[in-house]
Amino acid sequence: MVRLVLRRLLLVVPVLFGLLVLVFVLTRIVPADPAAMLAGEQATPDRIAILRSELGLDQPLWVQFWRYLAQVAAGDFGTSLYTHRAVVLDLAEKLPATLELALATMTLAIGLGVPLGVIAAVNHNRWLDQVIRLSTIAGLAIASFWLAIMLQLAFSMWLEWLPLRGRIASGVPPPPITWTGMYTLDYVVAGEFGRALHAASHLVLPSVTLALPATATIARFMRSSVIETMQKDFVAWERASGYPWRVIVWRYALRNSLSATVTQIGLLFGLFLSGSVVVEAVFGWPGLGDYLFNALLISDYQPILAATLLIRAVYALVNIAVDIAQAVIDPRVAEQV
Amino acid sequence: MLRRNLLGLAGAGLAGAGTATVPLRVLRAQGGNPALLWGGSMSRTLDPHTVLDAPSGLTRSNLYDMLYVYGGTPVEPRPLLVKEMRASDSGLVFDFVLHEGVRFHDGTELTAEDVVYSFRRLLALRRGIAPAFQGVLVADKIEATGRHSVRMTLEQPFSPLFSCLPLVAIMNRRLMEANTVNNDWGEAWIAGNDAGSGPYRVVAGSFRALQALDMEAFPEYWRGWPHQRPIRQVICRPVSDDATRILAVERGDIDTTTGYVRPDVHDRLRRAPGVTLTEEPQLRTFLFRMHNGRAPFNNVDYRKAISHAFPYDVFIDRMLRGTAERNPGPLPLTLWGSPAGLEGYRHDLDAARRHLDAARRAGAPVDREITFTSLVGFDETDQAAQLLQAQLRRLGITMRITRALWANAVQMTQSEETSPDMWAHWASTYYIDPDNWTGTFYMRAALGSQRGSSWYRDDETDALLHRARTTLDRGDRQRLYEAASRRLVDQAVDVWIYNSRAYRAVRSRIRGYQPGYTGDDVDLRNLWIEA
Repeated sequence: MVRLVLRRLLLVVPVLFGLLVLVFVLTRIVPADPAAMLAGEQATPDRIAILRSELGLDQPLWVQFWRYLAQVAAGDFGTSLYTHRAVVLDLAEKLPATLELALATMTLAIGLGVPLGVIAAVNHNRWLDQVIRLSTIAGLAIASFWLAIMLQLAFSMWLEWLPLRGRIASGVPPPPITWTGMYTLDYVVAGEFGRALHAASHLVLPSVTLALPATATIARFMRSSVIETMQKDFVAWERASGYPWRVIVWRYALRNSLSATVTQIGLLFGLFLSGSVVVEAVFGWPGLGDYLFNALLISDYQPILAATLLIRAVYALVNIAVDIAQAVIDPRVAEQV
Repeated sequence: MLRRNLLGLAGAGLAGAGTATVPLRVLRAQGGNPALLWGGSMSRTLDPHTVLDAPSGLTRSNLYDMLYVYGGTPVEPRPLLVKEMRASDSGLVFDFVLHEGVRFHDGTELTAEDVVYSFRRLLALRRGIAPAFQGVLVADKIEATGRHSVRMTLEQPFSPLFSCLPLVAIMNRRLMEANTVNNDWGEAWIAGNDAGSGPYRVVAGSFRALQALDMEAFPEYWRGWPHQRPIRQVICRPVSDDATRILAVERGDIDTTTGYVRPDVHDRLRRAPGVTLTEEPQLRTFLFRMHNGRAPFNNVDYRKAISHAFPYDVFIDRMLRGTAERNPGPLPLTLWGSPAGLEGYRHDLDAARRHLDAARRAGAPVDREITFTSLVGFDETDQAAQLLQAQLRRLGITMRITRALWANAVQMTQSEETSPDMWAHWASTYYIDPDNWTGTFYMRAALGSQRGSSWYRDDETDALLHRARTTLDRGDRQRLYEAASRRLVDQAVDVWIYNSRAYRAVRSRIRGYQPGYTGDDVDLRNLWIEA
């Protein structure tokens, strides 16, 4: 197992370096000039040229890359051209917000998707299976921005059960001490349970919006895996041996069916890290997606590079966790390494 | 059952959080006097010298004082920090005498040294309004001639000077110098702080770029407070999504939206209880830029054909639901310098065909496919482009629509080679003077800047605009701008479409609301909250 983890960790290094090169080159070849954006609409070419020189953007690409590499190696991910804030500080705020939302979403999606998939499989081709299949197709088909607005209308405007947007209400102080950066957890650690519930209530609508398609994906993967497992010889043997049906399904068949679903969960987590821009915008959730999107709009290179690397690094770590989970579920995986 | 549980959960949350968590609508029901919740856009930085977008107006005009501010109808620059001004006959030397007793937020007095520092900083950073002063104002010719008197000596006469002064925030020199690192003019520090003397000050540590800012009233503000119940705290929490912003103002989660409310929700907001939809005249024109330096656009008849092809009324009345006003020339019709009775171009395909034939006879390659660049995230530019495309097809002109991010469009327009044939552009107000819409767009000096992306070169227009920029007499300037405007329209340099009206939803409990002049420069000092 240790070998597996080490090997996966070592592979992350070249992947991150390759990504760094790729994103660096892509940001530079896209026809957008940060100096011109910064200089403003009225700036004349000579003024833009001076600014470009001050920012080092007039240097050859390899010189710029080398400088950036030296900077990153020293643990400095630069500062934003506009806010003049260290990008690391921004990321330290945004990543926990995104992780909090992604974890809430995954909890919902796994908590619903796995049982639904199993129920659909054991009721294969019966009405319950049909209902779950239709629901999951609908879940995949609904556009997240539409669902987000519908949920806001229903639960914030008409019923007034849940907040419309944001991580906490305006005027509410954030947790006194940052332990994880995830407000709900930090309030709990600080013993402020009322505020923890308040923060959790803000999580409900965005996480449900994101969880719906993820639940559908997990349920569909789970269903086909369980159906396949249920047709295997060991299940027939267990049934013949008189094992209770529930034990066969939830203890043996489920564990043998989890492999593909766990891989899918890892991929979905990666999507939530970078792909929830729309949901973050609709619900005013100040996460990484929103941050990256705003940096892209103005060609603010340093945040783009750092946020992309961070997302990929977290994604890699999640996939290592998935590999470990695979090895726990199926010890043959660890032995093959 | 579910509803009861959820309400219980929310109740528990509120109880634990204390009064600070109580939503605005609950406080209002309890007769409380909460802060103003500003839901409009926010800038990426609080530095008043480096950014000149609409959202930065809110912080610039409320955290800082300027030598002059805009005011009145029609709008004019009016003295604010300046008590007295003397100008030399040459129009090159200006002596300003400042009000005494003006205090910055840290209690130090605002003096001439602060004014000199602020202008020198602006010129050194070369951003914001600084390009307007290029070739006009140099750092060592701004001097303190006394504790409260400043002299500016211009390099050449520059009539829009006073229109530019409201954009120059006066900063606390000592505070800025104390926070300067590596000769950065305090840029890193000021991005999240303030060094002003305005009616509001930043609550320390509250600024998060594009996300959050808390401001509190500065009780010792030198001009005092006009109302007994002024707004003591302003909580800026921008809502980036259009639909959520509308729901938030209806719900009372925010008190104001941005100045852009989509036309399709105007009726809904007018019916919404507790919400007022304000209509604000603007000086922000929408136009199609044409590349006058490239064939066939270098042929005036071809440009006239394009100008006649666009269905202005359909676009304004149907697509924009009448929320803008037709503006047939480069200057907003409501601004001085715009010629009376200027008609411009109407949608007339027969006239377009005649001009197209004339262009063809003159050898212009009218059959060439042309490109139009619309802006990603601005659906209106796509709609306008598609309307034009449909009409041009009827004339036998093929137009391809490409889309670009704003950042890409900025890059493209810097070079004559990469500039698109046509693109959609809003001409925003940086300073309220005809020069903002003509000099910075159509003089040769503008070539290579985004504003000069028509690649228009005309000696006579250049001469008219140069004289208008350097002539001191207002009447003469007006005549020169009128002549320049007529000439630009005669030559169909661009397709000028409309002048905007801003619509902002404001909660009815907010009283005294008056729109800003250049964006979000709303004077919060004049607002109060209804008891």
